[in-house]
Amino acid sequence: MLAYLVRRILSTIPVMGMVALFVFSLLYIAPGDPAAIIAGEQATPEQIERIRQSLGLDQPFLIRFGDWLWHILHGDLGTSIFTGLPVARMISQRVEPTLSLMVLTLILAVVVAVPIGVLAAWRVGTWVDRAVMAFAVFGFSVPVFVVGYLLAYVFALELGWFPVQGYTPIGRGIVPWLENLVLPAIALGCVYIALIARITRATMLDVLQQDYVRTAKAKGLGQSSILFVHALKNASVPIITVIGIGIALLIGGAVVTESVFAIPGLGRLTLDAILRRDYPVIQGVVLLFSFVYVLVNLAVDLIYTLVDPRIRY
Amino acid sequence: MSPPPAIAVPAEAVAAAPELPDLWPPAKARRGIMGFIRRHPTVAFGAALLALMALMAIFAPYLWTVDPSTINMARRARAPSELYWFGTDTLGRDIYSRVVYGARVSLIVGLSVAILASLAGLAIGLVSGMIRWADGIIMRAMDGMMSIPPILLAIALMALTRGSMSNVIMAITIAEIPRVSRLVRGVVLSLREQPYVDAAVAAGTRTPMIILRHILPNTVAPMTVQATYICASAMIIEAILSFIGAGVPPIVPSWGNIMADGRALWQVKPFIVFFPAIFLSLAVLAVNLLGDGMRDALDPRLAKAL
Repeated sequence: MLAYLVRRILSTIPVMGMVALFVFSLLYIAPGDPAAIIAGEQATPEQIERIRQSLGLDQPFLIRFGDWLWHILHGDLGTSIFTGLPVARMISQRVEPTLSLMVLTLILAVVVAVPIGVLAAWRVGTWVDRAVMAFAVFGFSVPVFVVGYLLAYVFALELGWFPVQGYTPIGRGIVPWLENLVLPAIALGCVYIALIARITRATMLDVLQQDYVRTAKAKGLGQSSILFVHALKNASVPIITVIGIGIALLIGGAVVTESVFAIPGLGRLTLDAILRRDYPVIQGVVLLFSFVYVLVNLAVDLIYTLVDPRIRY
Repeated sequence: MSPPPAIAVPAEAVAAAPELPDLWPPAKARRGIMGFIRRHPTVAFGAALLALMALMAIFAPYLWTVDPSTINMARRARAPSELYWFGTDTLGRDIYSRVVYGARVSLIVGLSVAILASLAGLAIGLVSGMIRWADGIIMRAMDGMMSIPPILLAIALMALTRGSMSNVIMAITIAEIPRVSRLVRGVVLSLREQPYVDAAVAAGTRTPMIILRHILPNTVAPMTVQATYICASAMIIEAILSFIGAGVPPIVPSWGNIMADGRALWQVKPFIVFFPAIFLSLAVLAVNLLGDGMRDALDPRLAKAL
């Protein structure tokens, strides 16, 4: 078990290396000369050349990559071309709203999706099942910003139940924090709920036909005990897998959701960076999100052994 | 099925026989377009919707539209009226015309990405599945690419280049390739273990011939289904890229661009955002329904589960 743990954690290193290489190449081939930008408009070619040398920009690709990687490993993500601030600091200032939004969406999605998936499998073929499946199709088809605008229009503008836009830090109270995040979380959660509900239903359908479920029924166990203890526990591995994979949807969707609801998070930062062609910032955000994604899927692999003791490594 | 065979029956027997219940439903209910619609209502709906969108895209100039790029500052952000069916945007362009022309961008991007990503994924997946030493390297590279969420990867690639339709197509294609390659590789690996492939190898068939004759035909079904879903996903990513200002140039009438234009004003002029949103959702829905139908038709085992 411990050997597996170590091996699995080590296996993320080549993947992260590939991501780093990919992201670095992005900056490497990006148009524009950072040395010229830093030197300013009045700089002479000699001054630019001196800055280039001091930044190590005249070195070959692999040396620059190694250098860059070394800095990354020490928490130095470079400096923003536009603001001149360290990218790491710019990112850390924006982490809270995005993290809040994603965690809330994750909780909401799991709490909603798993029960409706179980319900659909239990009542397969009935209107309940069809309603859940119809919702899944719509969840996949209606893009996150469309759901976002729709929710904001109905529940914030027309009904006035929630603030239309903005974000309140959690430090200023749970309630205002939550009020601002409810609509974005629902909008962002739609496609995620559809994904999880669909897999839950499919796996549960399979599990409910197993002999041990029949045995549980025969010995007179209650319906909810059969569904949620016996069946769901055995269906949990694919469900947890898809929750992990779906984090990619959540990350991509967060960028758009933040823009719809004017939440000052990492998505907003990415957007501004794109408009200003601020490559170090884009690079930093992509790297961070990919790192989170790899870690989540590492966690998923480790959770397998907890929920299913049959999986031994 | 064929109708019951005609048997010569004496006339008096017919007269005496009680009227039999009509066991044979009318032919119309079983065959033809109506029969298909009755058996697969959602697929038929998706196909019809998609056909409608395609017709709209092709015949955009004849659908009572005006030039979608004509700017008129005198009639900015007008509400929908008899003259401007969907209103006008912040630069006074006719939203109805832009929405109708927008179908072109969405469908072209969706289709192109589906085709290009499928072909590239097929090639990479085949190489990876057939050549053992290449498998490790290719799959590690794909793992790395898959660790970057697709939308983020497309955004990062678009940040490098000018916004143009072909660049958008390339960026989304690259983001989608790893998933297709994985799928094809999986299919190839399982096919390689099939007895008929062993038999072909034993019979001395050369590898290219084995790929052509035994491997490729079996990848068609899962690839077709996958391509449909890629098309839907590409349409959404294209709209997202345009919406956040990293897609096709703002002058191009794409649904994402129209929504981006209405973003600042959406609380007072929600129609600018909602009309393209409805069309985008319907188009993606149509493609998804078609994909679900194809999955059910091509893979009955999966159809039962999902």
